Amino acid sequence: MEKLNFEELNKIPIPEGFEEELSMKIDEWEAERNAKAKAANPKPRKSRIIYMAAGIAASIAIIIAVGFNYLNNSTPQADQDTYDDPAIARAEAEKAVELLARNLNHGMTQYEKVNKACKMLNTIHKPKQNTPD
Amino acid sequence: MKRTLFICLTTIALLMTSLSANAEVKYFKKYADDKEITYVYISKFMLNMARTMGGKDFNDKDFGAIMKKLNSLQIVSSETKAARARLKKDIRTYVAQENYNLLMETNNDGSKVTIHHKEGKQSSIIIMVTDEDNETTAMIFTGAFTTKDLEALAKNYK
Repeated sequence: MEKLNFEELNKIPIPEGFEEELSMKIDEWEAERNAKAKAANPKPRKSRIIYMAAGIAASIAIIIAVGFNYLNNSTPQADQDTYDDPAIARAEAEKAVELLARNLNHGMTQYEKVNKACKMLNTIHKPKQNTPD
Repeated sequence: MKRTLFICLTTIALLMTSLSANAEVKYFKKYADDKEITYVYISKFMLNMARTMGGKDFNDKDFGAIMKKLNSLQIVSSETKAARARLKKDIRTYVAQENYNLLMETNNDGSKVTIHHKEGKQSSIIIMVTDEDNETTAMIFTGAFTTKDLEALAKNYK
């Protein structure tokens, strides 16, 4: 293989306008490469934005819920039973249920009385039906 | 992505459900630190303890059916004029906001009794307010009882 002789190469004449043409070609290749890169990495899609927003909303909801529960649970004596003795607690609950039963019974008795009175009034004022002779 | 969205939405739904489930009890808990109002809270755990610690089982003929279904009981009462007015106003607002049904309103031996009821999917709430000359008491029963249970309770009372 013959060695390159730079002196000889320098003697070869360069055609006029070759440098400009080469520069333009380089610019063209660069623009083409940029376009390809843009096509490979498009802008984030609408659905992706929605998912991101949902994720952020969920995170905020979790933080609010945890904070809310923490604040509520930190209220003093809120979740504690008033009575330490189960027998007293039961007696108190039975007393309350008995009172509820008594009041419900009283209300129902009153209702039944009114209902009975209404029925009696209806029978008294019921128009006599004309029976054929 | 769809899976992530599903998980997020499920988490939100569960959190919201847990918050609303605690809402009722929390409303009356504010009286726990009120100096003018007496607040009593009895949990299901305490009621069950009474049974396991050698106490008699609840008698179905009397109030047993309701007692077994009772999850919690709150008793709020006051004797001072200002606190009584505040308590009554709070309950009126609460039952209106939460769409309770007025079950009964009676005058019994000089005391005015109002019973409100709300039946939920998992548990029901009964609020009974007794307004006497010198005391106002509100009892909040929470449990898995139905209107039929209440009817039976009233009929079995002697």
